[in-house]
Amino acid sequence: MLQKRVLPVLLINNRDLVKSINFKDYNYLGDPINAVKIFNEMMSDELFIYDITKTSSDKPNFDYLAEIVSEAFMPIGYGGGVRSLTQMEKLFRIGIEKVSLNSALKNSLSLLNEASKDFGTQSIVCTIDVQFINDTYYSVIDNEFTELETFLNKLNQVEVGEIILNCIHKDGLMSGYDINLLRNVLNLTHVPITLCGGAGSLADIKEAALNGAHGIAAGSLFVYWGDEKGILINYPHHKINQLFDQQ
Amino acid sequence: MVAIIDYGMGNLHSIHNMIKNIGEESIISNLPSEIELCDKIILPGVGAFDRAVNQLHQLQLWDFLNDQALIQKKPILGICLGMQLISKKSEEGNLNGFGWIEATTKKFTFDKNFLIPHMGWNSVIFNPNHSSQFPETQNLDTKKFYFVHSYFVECENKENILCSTKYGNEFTSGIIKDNIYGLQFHPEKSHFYGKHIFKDFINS
Repeated sequence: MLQKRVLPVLLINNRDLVKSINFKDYNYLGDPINAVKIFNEMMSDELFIYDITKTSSDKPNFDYLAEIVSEAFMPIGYGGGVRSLTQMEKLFRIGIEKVSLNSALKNSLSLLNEASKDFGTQSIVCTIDVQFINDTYYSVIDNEFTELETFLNKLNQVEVGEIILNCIHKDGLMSGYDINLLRNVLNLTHVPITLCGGAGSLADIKEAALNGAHGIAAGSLFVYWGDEKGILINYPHHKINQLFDQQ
Repeated sequence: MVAIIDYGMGNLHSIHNMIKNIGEESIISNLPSEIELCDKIILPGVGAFDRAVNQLHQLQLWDFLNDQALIQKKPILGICLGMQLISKKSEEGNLNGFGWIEATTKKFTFDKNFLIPHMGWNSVIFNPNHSSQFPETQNLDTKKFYFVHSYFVECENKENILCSTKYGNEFTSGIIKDNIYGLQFHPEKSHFYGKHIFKDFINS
């Protein structure tokens, strides 16, 4: 049986590992490469890296990513500033397994189709930044809001291997996932869903898995420790495996 | 010294680094003169079957690898597409594979309950007839590895099955014949478990 994937999400800003709350209030955590090495030893299923650095060129930092990937003995997903097939090819060549698109989809989803055709659907991820306002879910791309259902209907017309639902309204709060969102989205698409935003405990991860998430992602849970949120990279591999053994 | 064959199909640095991490040496190369000097060969690969065959021919590696595997009898490990190339042919393409093992590469066909590609961590069960192969790996309590593939290898002779994995049905996730090994999963992306695979292959 294929196992559920439980993956730490790492945010990189100018080569710093950071963590946000509601996509704001970035807290400095340390060195990304060091974090990757620790996640190797802790036997993490997979890592997803988002580079949120705002630069004038706004494109992936290939050399730095190559440095990170060469230290990673697990699958790595990447998102941040990817806008072309050429960039994607470079990312796959340095050993990134999955590339996520977001801003590049602002006006058209066609890049997903082209990318899936060239590199295989399994390596192409669409990250949807989800905001929940007045009982409605929205996909947010560069401050532009589209009703999530409308966005997913369009997404169903193109080829994509995975959707990461990145919940802005849950980010960093550690108060549990938005399971209602997950259920809604699972009814609207057959694309595998990875849920991200809000995990505060392993019980939250189990809940997301039981409700049909294919991948369960978390930031704070794997970089903070205890009520005071001290910075400590952690990935309780055995406990995570046990979550699913009991299923 | 292990030679990792570089024929432009996917990234090879993680294989190189994992081998370094377990204290062994490897080179990434597409030059027969360099590969010849190594005592083990890894044939990796991600991408389309026919493109891989063409690339190997263009780089003058096809006949060379045939010689290394069949005449020199050098231990050779195909990973993912590299394993599929060891089969005679693939439903993915029209060109012939190496055919070192009597086997065909087929496409998964499932109803919608099983997504294609088979992607993620899954368990591997070794064929009891090959209990002496990959001994460190076989000794582990848990044997799970990272898979990404839409095609799988089907052996004509059961004795060539090294290990199997369940996804929908059971499929062959590892093949073996004399000095030739193929693994469908990615040991280089399977941290702790993958390191054992490389240790075992290097000690084979």
